[in-house]
Amino acid sequence: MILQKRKKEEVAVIEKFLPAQMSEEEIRTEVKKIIEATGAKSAAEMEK
Amino acid sequence: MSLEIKIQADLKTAMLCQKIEASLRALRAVKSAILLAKTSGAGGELSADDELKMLQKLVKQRKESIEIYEKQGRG
Repeated sequence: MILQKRKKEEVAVIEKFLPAQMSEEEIRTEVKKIIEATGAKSAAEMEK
Repeated sequence: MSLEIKIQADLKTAMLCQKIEASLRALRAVKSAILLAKTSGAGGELSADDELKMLQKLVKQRKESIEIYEKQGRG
């Protein structure tokens, strides 16, 4: 499992150069905020 | 100095070295990917988009390896 550990360490380093990825949880919270802010009531209001 | 204190100090140093070694490995991989992209592509500098794609590819490759190791570990 040493190889696995090494790869994980490398991923952690490389990811520092990538823009922060939002977790699914964070995306859901953000989307909910936007939905509330725009006051959309249903999917029928899409593209308004 | 007691043995315990000495060991503790050396352990700390060794752990730090391990971390540095990990950065070295990752940075070398990125550097080599940059060089490869520069020579194989249209030449010249990489665009920000190229850089992003390259980094994502490096991460993806590693995550795939991790997945394979995990499967092997279980089997």
